[in-house]
Amino acid sequence: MRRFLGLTFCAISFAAMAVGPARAAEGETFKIGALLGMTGASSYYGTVMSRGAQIAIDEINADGGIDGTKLELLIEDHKGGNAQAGVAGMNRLINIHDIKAVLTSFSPPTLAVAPIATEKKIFMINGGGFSAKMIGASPYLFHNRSLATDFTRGILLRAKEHGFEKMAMISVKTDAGENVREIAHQFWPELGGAIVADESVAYGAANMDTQIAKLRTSGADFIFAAIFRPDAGTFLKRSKEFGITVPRLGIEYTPDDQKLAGEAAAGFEFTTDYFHPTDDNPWAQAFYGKYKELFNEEPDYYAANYYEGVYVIAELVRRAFEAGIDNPDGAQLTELLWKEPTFKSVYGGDMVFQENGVAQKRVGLFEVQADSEKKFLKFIETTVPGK
Amino acid sequence: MEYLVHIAVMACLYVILATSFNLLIGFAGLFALSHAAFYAFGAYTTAILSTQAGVPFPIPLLLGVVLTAGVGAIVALPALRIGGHYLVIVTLALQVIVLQVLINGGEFTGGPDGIAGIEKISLFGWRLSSPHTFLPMAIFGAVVCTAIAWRIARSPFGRALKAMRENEAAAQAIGKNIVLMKVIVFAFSAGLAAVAGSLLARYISYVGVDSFSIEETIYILAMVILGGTGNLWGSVVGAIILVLLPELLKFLALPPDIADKMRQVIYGLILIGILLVRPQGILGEHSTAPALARRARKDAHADEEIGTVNGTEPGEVTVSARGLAKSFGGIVAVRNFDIDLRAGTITGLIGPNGAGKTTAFNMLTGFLQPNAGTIELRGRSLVGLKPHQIVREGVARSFQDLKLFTKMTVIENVLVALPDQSGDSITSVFFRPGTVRREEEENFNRAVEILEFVNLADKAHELAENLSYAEEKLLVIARLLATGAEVLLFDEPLSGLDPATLEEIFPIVRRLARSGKTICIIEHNLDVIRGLCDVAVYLDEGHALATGTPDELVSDPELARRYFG
Repeated sequence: MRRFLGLTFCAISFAAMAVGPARAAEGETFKIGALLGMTGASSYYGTVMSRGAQIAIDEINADGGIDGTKLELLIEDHKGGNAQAGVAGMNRLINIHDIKAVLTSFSPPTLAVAPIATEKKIFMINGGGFSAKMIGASPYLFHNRSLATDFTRGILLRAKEHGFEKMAMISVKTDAGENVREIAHQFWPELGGAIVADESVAYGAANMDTQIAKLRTSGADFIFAAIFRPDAGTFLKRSKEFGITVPRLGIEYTPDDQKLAGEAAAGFEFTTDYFHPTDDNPWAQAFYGKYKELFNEEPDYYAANYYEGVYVIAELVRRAFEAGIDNPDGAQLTELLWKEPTFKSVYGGDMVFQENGVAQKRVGLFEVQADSEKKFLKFIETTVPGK
Repeated sequence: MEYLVHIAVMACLYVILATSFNLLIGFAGLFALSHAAFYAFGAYTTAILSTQAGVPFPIPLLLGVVLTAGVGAIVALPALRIGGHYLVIVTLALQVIVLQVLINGGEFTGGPDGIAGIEKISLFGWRLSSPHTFLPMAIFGAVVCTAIAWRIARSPFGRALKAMRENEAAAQAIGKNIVLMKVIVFAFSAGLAAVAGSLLARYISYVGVDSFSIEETIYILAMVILGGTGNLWGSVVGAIILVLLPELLKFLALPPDIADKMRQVIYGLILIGILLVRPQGILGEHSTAPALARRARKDAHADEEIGTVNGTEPGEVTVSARGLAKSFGGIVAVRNFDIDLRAGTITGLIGPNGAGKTTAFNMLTGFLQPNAGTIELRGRSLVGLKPHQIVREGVARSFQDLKLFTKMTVIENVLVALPDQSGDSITSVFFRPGTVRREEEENFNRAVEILEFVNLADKAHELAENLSYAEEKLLVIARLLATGAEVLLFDEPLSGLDPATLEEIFPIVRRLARSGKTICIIEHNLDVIRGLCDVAVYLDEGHALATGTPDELVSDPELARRYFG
């Protein structure tokens, strides 16, 4: 047994030494790490995020890389949001692959690796997790996904626009769901509204009938669903079957939700990162076409965010090379970002990173049509005039 | 290389978790699936005290250990009444409840977001902020916790835990307080897990519910099973392997979007492969006795006669029961039962199946409380006492189905039954180690003598499960003798034995009686009763119909008709 353990330790040491410093020294490849949920109940996210990121890597490399330096994507699995797995993955990325920039996802692992990023000067960009608690966790942590605050304010402003007053809400018991719930509890009363029901469901709940029955009898003007894939699909399907007729508003509607809910999703309005390949956005159309060609399905905004995240990092590396920095670390990439915080967005137009590290992007308002397809209605402001 | 150091830190934390879990599952036989909840208690206590009250190291760790040990002791309460699958369900429920409380704890627990920004440990101005600086702390924690678990496991208390794991009734029948033992082992197991939780919180500066799910409990359980239950070194090995293996698999080149799923499949297949080759785990369970054998001095009790009861007059009544009654619902098992057991006398209890003989034994030894009647040992009432208290008073029993501790060696079966062991007290285990060690050596010699008395000394280091049927019967006698009780109640000790073996055992029982022991035997074989017993009591329909010499009862035509039909 001692021999086995000794050999195992030696094997890891050898592999670590063989893979790490040697390639880093070559300087021909800039490696980008990705901490994604590749396994477990949330593997859907990891799959689409990694696909989006890899398409960006392939595109940049096909165009000759960044001044000849190719990009490489190295994925680590945080098992659907496990902090320890996130820390382990981050350590591998840093110590074996000498990574200086990481695409991260989910709030718990992002919060767990933030101190490491700070200490090791690792640039991180999050395009998936949207808990507001991530703001300020590390000076090198940025978000190219609008956070919970923006989506929630946006959809509640839409509710106000409709003239609704009484809100019934249902939220999922995850970091994201809880964060949205907290913001809604603070913001809706500020808008003069009342909360007449507040139900919660576990993530991945197959049965939320009890909660939906309570929502139906609450007398609300509308239902705000702070839930995500696949629960959003389940909610839309069952709420329709329960005969709920008041409008349903939410903050996520993925292809999986569409498959699950079908026509029962009709009328659902939601705010989200606006990824819709319109005619006036050829970059988005190209990404959309490539994704569909490769995987035979439409990319959602998670795929788009990670696609875009790679381009943000690539732009920063290009700026570093221009500044004569051959192997930039996270601190240098961050400094370069703050010098010019505006980046081209695959969603159309530009996105600007704010002081809190969050990219101010256009938040889209969508409505699900009778055929279960979503339809872009308009951009919606996430701030209250005068505040 | 920091990555390797990080793996080493995680291995240390899982060593703590696996060894503490093994105490509960491998040694005590309490299949409680809430270890990750205890782990979480330690982590969250440190996180909350550190971030919300600014309490410095090591106070949150110590409070976490105390709090979690308390919770563990409370969890032990349902385990007193239930076991097996029911305990699994109850502890799973605890695991779920703890997670739900943490998720719904709002700002206090951080809810689903968890708690970030936990202050790193600072010692003498040295901040343990990197894997390199934290590793010595992790190693120290693992060594201390493993040493505590090892001390428990290798002590007489640990031996008693194994006896309880093997058979709770038999453990009670040799004087072990299984209620106290369960509470203590739950508390220690939980408290040690809390150490790992506290260290994790300090190491990664973050705690979240995802780290303490039921999957985490199963992961730790896999370490225990892989290494071998009932062996702490096995848990160390299991923890190291299960921490290292996924890291090794990371070096397998696989397509990126399915790589981690494939690695999990391979990981599972490797574990299945190992357990197919070593179903008992990589390291099997081992006995504590060989180490004792090396230290023991053969002359410790050389001139003390086995089984001698001092200050007893032959024929003196030791146990007297009057008017005993027991019914189960509408079924009357025993009614108005009187019996006197005398020192130096072998009393036979005979009667047809269902006559109430074993029920009478169960009442005399506290396994059942009588509905009516009195039981006295030399004038002291035994009614209301627990089985282990009655053994300590001086009345011990064997079981019809033997209830040997089959996964323990022969000498361990005897050692564990010896009375008044300092090592049965957890405080003595830690605070009077010298006394415990000296007693252990003496007890080993005593156990050897008892085994020599029943002619089993040459089998001392065999597992009890490997004995022949006749040897098992002898071990039952030896274990009963080891309790030091002056009244020995044997439930069919000689059934199923051939005449030659009976001739070997008869002298042993007679010698015990001559030494002053009070002996009562339930037996169906009338030849045994006639050959061995001085007095016989005929029991039928829960009532003593006749008392006399065996020959008198056997020659009574009415009793013969009732017995043989």
